[in-house]
Amino acid sequence: MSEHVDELAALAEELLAAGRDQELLAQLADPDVEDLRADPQVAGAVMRVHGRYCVSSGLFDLLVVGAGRSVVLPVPGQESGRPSGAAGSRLVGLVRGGPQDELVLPTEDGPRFLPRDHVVSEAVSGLDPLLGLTLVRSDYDPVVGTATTATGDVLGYAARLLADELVGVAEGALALALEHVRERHQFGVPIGSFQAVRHRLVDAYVDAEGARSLLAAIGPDAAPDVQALVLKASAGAAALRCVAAAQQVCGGMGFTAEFDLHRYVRRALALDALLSGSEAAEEHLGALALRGRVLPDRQVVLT
Amino acid sequence: MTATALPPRPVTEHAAQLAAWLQEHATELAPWRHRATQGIAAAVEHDRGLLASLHDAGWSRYGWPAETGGLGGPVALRAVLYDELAAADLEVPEAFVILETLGPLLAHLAPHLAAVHLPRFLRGDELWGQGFSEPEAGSDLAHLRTRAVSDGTGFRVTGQKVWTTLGQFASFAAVLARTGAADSAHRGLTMLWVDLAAPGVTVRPIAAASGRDEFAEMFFDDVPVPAEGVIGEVGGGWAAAMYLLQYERGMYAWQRQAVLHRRLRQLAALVGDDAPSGTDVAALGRAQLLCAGLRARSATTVARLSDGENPGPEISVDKVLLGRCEQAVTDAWRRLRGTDMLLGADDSAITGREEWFYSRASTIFGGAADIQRDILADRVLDLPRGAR
Repeated sequence: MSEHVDELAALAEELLAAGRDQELLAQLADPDVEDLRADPQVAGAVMRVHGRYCVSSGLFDLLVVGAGRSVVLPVPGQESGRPSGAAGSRLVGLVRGGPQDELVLPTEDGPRFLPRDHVVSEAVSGLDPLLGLTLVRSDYDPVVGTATTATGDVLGYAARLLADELVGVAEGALALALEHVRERHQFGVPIGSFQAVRHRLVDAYVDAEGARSLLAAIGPDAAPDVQALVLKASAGAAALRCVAAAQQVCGGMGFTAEFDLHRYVRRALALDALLSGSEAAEEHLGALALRGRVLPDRQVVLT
Repeated sequence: MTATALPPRPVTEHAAQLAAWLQEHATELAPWRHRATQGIAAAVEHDRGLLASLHDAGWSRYGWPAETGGLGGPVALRAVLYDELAAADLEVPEAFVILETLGPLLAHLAPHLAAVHLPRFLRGDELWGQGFSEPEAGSDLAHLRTRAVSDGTGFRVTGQKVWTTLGQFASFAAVLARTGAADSAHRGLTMLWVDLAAPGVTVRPIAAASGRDEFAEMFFDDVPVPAEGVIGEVGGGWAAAMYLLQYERGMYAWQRQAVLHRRLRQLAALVGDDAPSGTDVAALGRAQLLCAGLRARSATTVARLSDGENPGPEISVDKVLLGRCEQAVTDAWRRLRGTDMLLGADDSAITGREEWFYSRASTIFGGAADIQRDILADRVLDLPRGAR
């Protein structure tokens, strides 16, 4: 499968670099490549490129729950509005991009489903307008169905792919910053030769490396809380660190609309906030440890 | 508890075998679940018992070549040992840090010395010291001043070395000395194996801020070193030091992550669910996240070392991650066991404070974190070089 991973990542790279994100989406939506796109390694690699180019499309939904479906994510900060899937509960949730024909609600008891005509949708602009978030509400009861993803765990898998995307966002922001500090001269030299600038970027790079290593080492079969609280939190923290470092070293340029950095800043903050922000995850992880569940402990093994 | 050593197996199977052996012998090994607290000499002496057991049962000999007293197999089997010791709730002896720094150097560049000394070290009969840093050459190691002058057959060494871990207990030391001209920088260095019982050697422990005197200084006054004491080539000292660094940084980080994961488990169990404040709990979670990243990163580094690949400058990533982890874990302890940090007088509190101090030094010894950042900026991120 690994040759397909590289192949698909290269395809994503080529199309997204050319701004052809809809074409990438169409190619991956082809039923003939269903097995390929359901492979977590392939999906992860594509989401990482997606993050690096800071684009938005229906890719996330396609990769998490398959063609014609949208995954409903909890609204951060609105715990009471979490889609519980229980009968009679009023649903409030977020989907990325416009809702597809069927909405998938991840619950602790497995996915539940709602047809699109049972929800009211409202596009959200907010922090990251290009992310295309849509707020969905429904008073209907979602129905039990069958899981369609390889992992059978929608929320854990969604967290994992967000982690991949966040690593891409971190890499994209870092690449912008590195290019800037190599080119930008002050005091007669490139500012990337100053230790303060170099060390700041190295620290951000090291964070990204840690998150990347974790994603490569812990597979999609690990528990959902490992995907969300460890992989996604680690990637979220790395992305926040990378955009913060980039914002500092890019100086005034980073605050212009013309310079792409603000897109990465928005994307890192927005994606980090979905499915438990990295700071909240730290406290959650610590609390679990004090109750006897130390994550991820020795889940990474030597080979 | 001597057992017949098993032939090397694939890494995961080997780990399972070792874990089973450690569990089977848990009662005999129980004394090594805590390090001796009656001073560092007692701790070193105490560890010898564990080293001897692991040697006699064969476990510490895997991953070392047969010519040097080992049982062969990939280098990753050494990593398995450190990881499983910590997983079995045992203290990983500090001697293994020294072993991973100097053992690969001897095995690779001075097999004649490794054949004699490695078996002794593994049995717990001998410790070695690392003589690199000097009072005037820390981060700027290439400008060290200790001189080695040819005396026809071997060398005569004169100078001073500092920060030698457990140097006061060492029988031999690998000493980086200048054999070239005073201005030869890194080109004129040679790595020498010095007998610390030779005439002209003085070794003194340094009173440490932590209260645990784990470093020593070594003085050399016209100390004779025979020709066979050259590790690698005359003038090849810098290359030897660079070879050693991949293990000193890579395998050391792996050892430490094993220990730090154990510390996290211990801390969580010690504190339990007695409702500490949110920020203190978050400090624990933060340490868990950092250590998870280090373990994942370090596992790939160990795999590369095991495949005979030198990770090169990228190994500095492991070193920077490690420094963060050391400090995050001890800071979580400081927050969650604040009374121990401030007032505690029992062994657990004293060890906790010593480890907090040690963690502050972890971003300094073995190449300061700031130097690692410069290496990464220059050689991995390809940033323009500037004044240091």
